[in-house]
Amino acid sequence: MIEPGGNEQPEAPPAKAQLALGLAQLQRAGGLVTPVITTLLAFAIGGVVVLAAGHDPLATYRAIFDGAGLNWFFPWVTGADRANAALNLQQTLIITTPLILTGLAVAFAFRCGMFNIGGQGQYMVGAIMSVWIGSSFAGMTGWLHILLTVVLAMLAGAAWAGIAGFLKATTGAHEVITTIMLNWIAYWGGSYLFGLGGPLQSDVRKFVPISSDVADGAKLPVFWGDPQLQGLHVGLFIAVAALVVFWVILSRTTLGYQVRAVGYNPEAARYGGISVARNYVVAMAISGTFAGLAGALDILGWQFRLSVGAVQVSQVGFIGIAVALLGRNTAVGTFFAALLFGALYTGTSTRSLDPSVFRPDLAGSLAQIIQGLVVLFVGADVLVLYVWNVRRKLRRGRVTPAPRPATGAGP
Amino acid sequence: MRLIRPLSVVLVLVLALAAAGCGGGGGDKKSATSTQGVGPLRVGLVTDTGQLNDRGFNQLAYQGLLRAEKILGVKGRVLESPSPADYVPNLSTLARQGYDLVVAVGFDQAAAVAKAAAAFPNTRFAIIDVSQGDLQDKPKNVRGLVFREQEAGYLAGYAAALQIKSTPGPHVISTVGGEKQPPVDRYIAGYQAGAKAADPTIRLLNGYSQDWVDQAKCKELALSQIAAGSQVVFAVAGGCGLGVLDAAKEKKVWAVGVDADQGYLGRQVLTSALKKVDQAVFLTIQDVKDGTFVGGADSVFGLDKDGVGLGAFSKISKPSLPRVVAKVRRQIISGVIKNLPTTVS
Amino acid sequence: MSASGVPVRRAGLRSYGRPHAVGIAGIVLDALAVLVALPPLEARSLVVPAAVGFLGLACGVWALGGGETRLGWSVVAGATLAIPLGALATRSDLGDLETVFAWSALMAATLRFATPLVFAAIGGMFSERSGVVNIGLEGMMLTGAFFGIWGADVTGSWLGGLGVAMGAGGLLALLYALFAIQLRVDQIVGGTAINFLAVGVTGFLFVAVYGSAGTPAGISSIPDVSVHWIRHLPVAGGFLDRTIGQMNLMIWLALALVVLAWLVVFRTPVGLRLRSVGEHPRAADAVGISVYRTRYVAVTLSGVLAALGGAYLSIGYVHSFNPLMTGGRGFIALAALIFGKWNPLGALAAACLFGFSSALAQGLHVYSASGATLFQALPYVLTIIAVAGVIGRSIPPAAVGRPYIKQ
Repeated sequence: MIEPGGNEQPEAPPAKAQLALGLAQLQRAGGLVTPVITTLLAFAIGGVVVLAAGHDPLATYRAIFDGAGLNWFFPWVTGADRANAALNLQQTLIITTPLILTGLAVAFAFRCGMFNIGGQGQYMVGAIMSVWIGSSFAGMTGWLHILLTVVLAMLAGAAWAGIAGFLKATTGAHEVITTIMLNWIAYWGGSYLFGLGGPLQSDVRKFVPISSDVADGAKLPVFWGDPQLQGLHVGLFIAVAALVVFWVILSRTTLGYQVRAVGYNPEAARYGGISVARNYVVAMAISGTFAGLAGALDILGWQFRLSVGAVQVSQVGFIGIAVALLGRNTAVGTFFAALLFGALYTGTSTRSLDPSVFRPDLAGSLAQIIQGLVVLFVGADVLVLYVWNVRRKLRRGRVTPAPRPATGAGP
Repeated sequence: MRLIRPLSVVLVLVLALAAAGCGGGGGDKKSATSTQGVGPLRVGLVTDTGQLNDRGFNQLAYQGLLRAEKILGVKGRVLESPSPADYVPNLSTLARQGYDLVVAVGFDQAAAVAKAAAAFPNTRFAIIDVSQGDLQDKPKNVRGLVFREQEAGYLAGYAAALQIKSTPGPHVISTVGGEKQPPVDRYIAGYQAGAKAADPTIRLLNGYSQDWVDQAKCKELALSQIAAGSQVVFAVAGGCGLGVLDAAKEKKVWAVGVDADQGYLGRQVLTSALKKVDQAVFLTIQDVKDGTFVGGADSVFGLDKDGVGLGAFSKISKPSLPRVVAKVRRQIISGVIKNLPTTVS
Repeated sequence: MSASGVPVRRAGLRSYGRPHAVGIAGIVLDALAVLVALPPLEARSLVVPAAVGFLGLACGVWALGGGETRLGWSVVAGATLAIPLGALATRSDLGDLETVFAWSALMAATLRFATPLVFAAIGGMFSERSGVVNIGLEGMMLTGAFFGIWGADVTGSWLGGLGVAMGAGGLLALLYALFAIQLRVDQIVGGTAINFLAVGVTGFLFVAVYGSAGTPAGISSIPDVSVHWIRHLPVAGGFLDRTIGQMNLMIWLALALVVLAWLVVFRTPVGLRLRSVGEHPRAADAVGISVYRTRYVAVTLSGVLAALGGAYLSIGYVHSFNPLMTGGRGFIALAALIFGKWNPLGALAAACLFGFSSALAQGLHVYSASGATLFQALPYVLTIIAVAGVIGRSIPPAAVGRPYIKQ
């Protein structure tokens, strides 16, 4: 195959050249390759860490892979192993569901040029609202109850984020500060509500700092696994639908256009007649809606109650930041990033990881190190392209013009 | 369009999952695999979100398990739960693998244990700090392990009041709780009652750090209580409570440790109010081994069963303390002192 | 000001002059309306806070009339808050009031809380003044906390611990600098990654080195500095002694750092170079200042300082390490920095506001046990009000967040 610029090595295998061209095309076509390569790089370095800790990296990663249930996709896994993998995959997807949404929350705000660190607070507010509405109105028809709860939770999340957007639009208050503060206010608000003597503390169990249970009718149906033992609920589909909604809003509506315009250059947008202030508020509100939805799906899908401890230990909103960053603030990217982090969480859990393969009490920290490396490398296009470039030069034996880097302006 | 390829991948993924859901799925009652009763006893422990190194119940329960491994020859396994989403999967994994006893720590897991017990009626469960009667449907294969922390607190308060009785000026003692919840308040209520019994004029201060981990927070609270005159500070806040012990050391006042014997942390630790979770777990495992485990009820651990107690006294404390406290202990066990309060007003 | 004394508004400039001064007076009066009912003044009649508060309200309206919108509305809002609060205080039991508002204890607690924030915020200031956003302050602080205590354990001295902490923080910051400056990774991304890495690495090493027993007792700790001789000073001697008579060395260092940082950044050629790199890197480059080198140094310094803040927490305050012990303080420090408009003195003021409201919140539980939890949110609510009402638009260094490409 003749490549542009000539080929000085006619004996270079055509397959390699095909591969190089194909990958270059993929990269231009949507910037997927870079995140994949950087993820691999991060795992490689994580493997070095595992080695330094005296364990076998490949066995560890294999164990994490199996622990996440991803081996379920392999048809040659059968019997008890397959059943186990199914259980693991259900848990992975349960964790992935809210991560998709909190990732979308951060991504949407980023597209408008704002850094929404408040996903945790917005998620929590949505969860609190869900617990409240879900445990009230016990006699209501199932689907109506669910709908009411979800809608109110989304509104709660929107309002919580909207505060930060409003403050930025009117007083110029930096959203990094306001969202961090709102996170903590939600944290303590939740602790107060469910603490002993708090307004939302359980009527039934009066001496424990826990909320009432969500009514049976308001629980989301489980479509895979045992409904009594935390099976996978239909919230996953709602989250995936949210991905589509995200993409549609951003690339197919006027609102999305305005949001992106403000994100690229607020001054130019203002000059073009777009109300920057209004877009700040709307973008944050939509961002909060996604996070609030995450809270609702978790509560109605598997959690069914909140305790003070649960409020204080939750990290879903913060991991959403990493998800959005890894996913380059795109819908597809967010999905795979959420899946990756969900798999990492479940795969490194102590029930999945055999102590003989890797110490369970260290596994959680290992997952965090890998997460950190993944996020660190993800923005390093330059590094990846540099490495890629060097390989191409070596293959061709002469200097070639570097391929134009993809702008990453995908869905 | 370039959107098609990744989108199609997503669609296939989702369809595959849906297909799997229709094909498989639960609904049938699980039964443990048949490894029960073969070989050494297998005991599983599921922590709550405080996890293993919480300097509190999780750690103590683990120590009980380790002791059972050594002395009773059981095979133990610990599953940590970094998030509430791990409770049900952890419990059901152990049950599915045919563990002879599954121990759960803390009331946060109560609902999860109720579900797992219902799904695995042939597996024995034990839950710490929760009464079996409080669980949904009162499952017959669960034993609740509850403690009379107020008895340990009473002894600690009595000792504390005695220790400072001969000091000049007003006598003040205080408590730093992690959060207002029953186990914490039982300790505090007992402490206050014991102190008042030894010294009716004593003044009592109380505060909650709202944190189980951040030692700086507990230290601040303790410092403000010490500034208000407290001479003995009782830490009931897990890992955060170590900040209290540190504050006492800094200001040269007394401290009382909690749950485990924390005397090794310094001579300012007058004593520790012990909650022998490790002992409770050990005894429960022993019951299973001896075949005397009975689900559907509670084991109540008080001074009489050596389930709670007082740790060693500080080397620089009053020499008369051990004798006097031992007398009070006998009085509680025999019932002379009774109706210890369990709630803090 | 025109000849008749009416303030003249020039395009783009604030009209300083009487309305502004009246507005400031209004803020003081608002604060006084609450203070007058608290110890040591302890006015018990409802009239006193009400009267002072209304005076403040009047000042606010005057300021509004004079064109000072932000200041005027802040004063008015302040008065509407202060009058009920002051009235509440007059109704409150004196004993409770004195327990909660023990000013020397409050001030001492404020300084203790603010110290780690100050170290991290000043570090963040250096980094951001050079044009590099540093979201990773939390991770660098946590690193300093772990390596500080580990270093003190291993070397047997707190100085050794501080040294190791500074080294570890500096290294982590250097890694961040490499990615942010050389490889031009998005700085928010890089900072977030640093935080994850720090949590993972410190958690990993903590369990690997210390296991379930945790850090041992008796590790060498940073000493306090006794200045009890100030108790002999007239008037406020006793109060000062109770507040600052025995403070940890690191607290004094933090205060010194604020002054030093201010001097360096605003009064020395080095500081001017730093600021120029952050505002107009291309112009600075043209004049011969090495943009890359300045940024590397600034970012590394930010890591060193943030680590010192963490080391104060572990070696200086609680004398141990637990995973995640910084508890979000790095982000609060970032907020303090933005709140303080990238100025050391402003950052100190913000950190103290935080510390004060935290200390106050802890004491308020005497009024309500269940409400005590809600009071913990007080610092955060106050910060939002302050940021929105008083500070408003915080303008960062012009080139912050944008990687520089030398041509």
